[in-house]
Amino acid sequence: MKLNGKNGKSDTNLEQIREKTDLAVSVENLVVHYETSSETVEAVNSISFSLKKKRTLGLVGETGAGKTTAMLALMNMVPNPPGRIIEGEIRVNGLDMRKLTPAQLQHVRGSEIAMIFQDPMTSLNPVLTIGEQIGESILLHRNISKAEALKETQKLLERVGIDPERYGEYPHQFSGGMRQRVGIAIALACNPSVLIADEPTSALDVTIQAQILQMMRKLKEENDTSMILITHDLGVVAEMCDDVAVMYAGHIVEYGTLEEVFNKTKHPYTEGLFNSLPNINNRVEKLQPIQGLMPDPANLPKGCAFAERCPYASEACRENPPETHSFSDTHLAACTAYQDPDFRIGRNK
Amino acid sequence: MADTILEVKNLKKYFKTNKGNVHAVDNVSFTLERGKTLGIVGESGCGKSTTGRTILRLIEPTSGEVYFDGKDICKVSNKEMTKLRKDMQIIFQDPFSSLDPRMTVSQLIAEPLKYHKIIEASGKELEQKTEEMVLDLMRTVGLAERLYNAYPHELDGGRRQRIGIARALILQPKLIVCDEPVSALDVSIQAQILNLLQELQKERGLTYIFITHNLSVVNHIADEIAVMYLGSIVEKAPVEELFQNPLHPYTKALLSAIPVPEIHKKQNGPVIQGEVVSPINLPDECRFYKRCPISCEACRQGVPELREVLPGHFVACGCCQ
Repeated sequence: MKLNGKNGKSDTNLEQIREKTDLAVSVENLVVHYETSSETVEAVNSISFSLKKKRTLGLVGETGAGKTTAMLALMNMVPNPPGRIIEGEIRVNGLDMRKLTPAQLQHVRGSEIAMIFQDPMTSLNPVLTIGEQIGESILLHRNISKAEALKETQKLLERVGIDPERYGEYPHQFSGGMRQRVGIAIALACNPSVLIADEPTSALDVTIQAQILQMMRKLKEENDTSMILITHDLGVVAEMCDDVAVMYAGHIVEYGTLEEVFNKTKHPYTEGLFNSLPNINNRVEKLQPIQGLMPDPANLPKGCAFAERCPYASEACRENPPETHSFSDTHLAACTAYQDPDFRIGRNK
Repeated sequence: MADTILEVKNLKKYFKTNKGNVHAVDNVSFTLERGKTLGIVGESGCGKSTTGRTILRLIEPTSGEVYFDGKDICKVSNKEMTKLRKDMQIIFQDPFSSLDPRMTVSQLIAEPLKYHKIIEASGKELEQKTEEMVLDLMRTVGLAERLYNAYPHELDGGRRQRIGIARALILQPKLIVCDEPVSALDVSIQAQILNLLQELQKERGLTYIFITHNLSVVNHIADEIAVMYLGSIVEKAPVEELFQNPLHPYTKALLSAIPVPEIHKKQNGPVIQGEVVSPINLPDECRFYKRCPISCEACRQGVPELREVLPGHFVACGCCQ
């Protein structure tokens, strides 16, 4: 590997264009489409959110809601073609990600913002040892020798709970939980201040999930990292997050602190998610599923995307895009029904 | 007297490998009452799916007895087994890979009918009767009639799983092994399928063996739960008893590891460390010994047996007995 040392000088450029901010991440009106010859998939439709330093934001939603695309856009990594960021402003630590040059982007990715991927079975390179894979980003971002990088790698392995002597082993020699620890070590290699975790524990067993979540909490506190956690598991959100954004068909339908979204739920879709979940503390005779299916993102309705499945929907919901109502400084819900000041969803009655 | 539909005695399935025997299912015994649901819970590799399949003799057991309606199915001839299969069906985990992509919805649902030659008719009459039955069942499981000639790739996961359910139901079985039927589905769809399975059970008096790793799901659907670890049942109890009074340290750890979607409801139990050991050539001690937070001397004196400690509550643990 002859990658070291090249990127040291881009630092100064970055400091000139960095804006002062106390937000780790801010996204305004982000729109991402996947364009193919036959159709346009509207994966992310004008979403806005921000992440304060040292906080954890949970991004919740079902398959196809646009969670992963939104996060790839955050790192300016949407596969192009067919993906394209149509508009929007993306700032990470005060840097406008859409205006950076490829060299600057390469520097920012990994050292300021890093990602933990969902599936530890496929996200590691099977022909490189885990030591090489962790050391790769250290060598790329820091001006140090191979021997020093190896020492750093071993320190990282120890931090994520793997015997440092195993640095020379290949991914297939590790179990799923151990591989995810390797994935976390890679993401943490250069102490990024923002960490995106894309369903980091969905592929793992519950006891292993508990170990990984515990470790992530500990590492986050040690390093003052800000984190965005993508998940479909509301239980994981309750354990890990400070703020929650609920996504549906490419929109953020509800956004607020954990307390607000869980205990003062406003959006009918969020309510539907809670009602669909079998709750271990409260066994009900019959679950109340959300009827129907999520609309095809290549063919979204003109009104509210959830209207067809929503028990409270009116004609106005089907005709016009939903209005965003705010319930506190931090709590937003995109639902037209709140035009009526007396409207309450069933959960809040 | 309880109406027992299934009795499993000392069921074992070992797979031979170059390194030694994999103890996939090791001495599993239980009985199941007609019309009830037994949930089998455990983590990947604990042998829950192999148990389900061995009970149906989709995998030949190494040893043990399985009595279905009083008959030991491990001893019957293949021909007789084929007949018995009409009464015992399975719903598979992954609706994306368990359906033949080149068959239409109607062909998929009608396949078991044709194989078992259920309808005694021929020519036009056979076709007509098959179509009637398929359409009837499509209504039952909530598939729209317009999907009659659709192929699986045109459908989403929830609908595909409905086809899998229809295929299992068309022979009007008594027992259905549901092998992780909802784990590949999104929560809102998962709830739809769980409700469907419960309705069908009420209507048709079905007996389920419900295999899953998801404790919240099994809590919702099962009457009784068996917790498996490395091929053996470590605890078995009625659902409420198991959730309120778990005895085995592994069950306790599993329960406390479930993330609960409520704030400040974290069940602050111990996070168990370590991972499941290899199921090859297991030492003669409690399977959970190396990860167990209690692990007393009794645990090293051979594998603890499953004993009834409270009425209906069985546990295999040297320390809690």
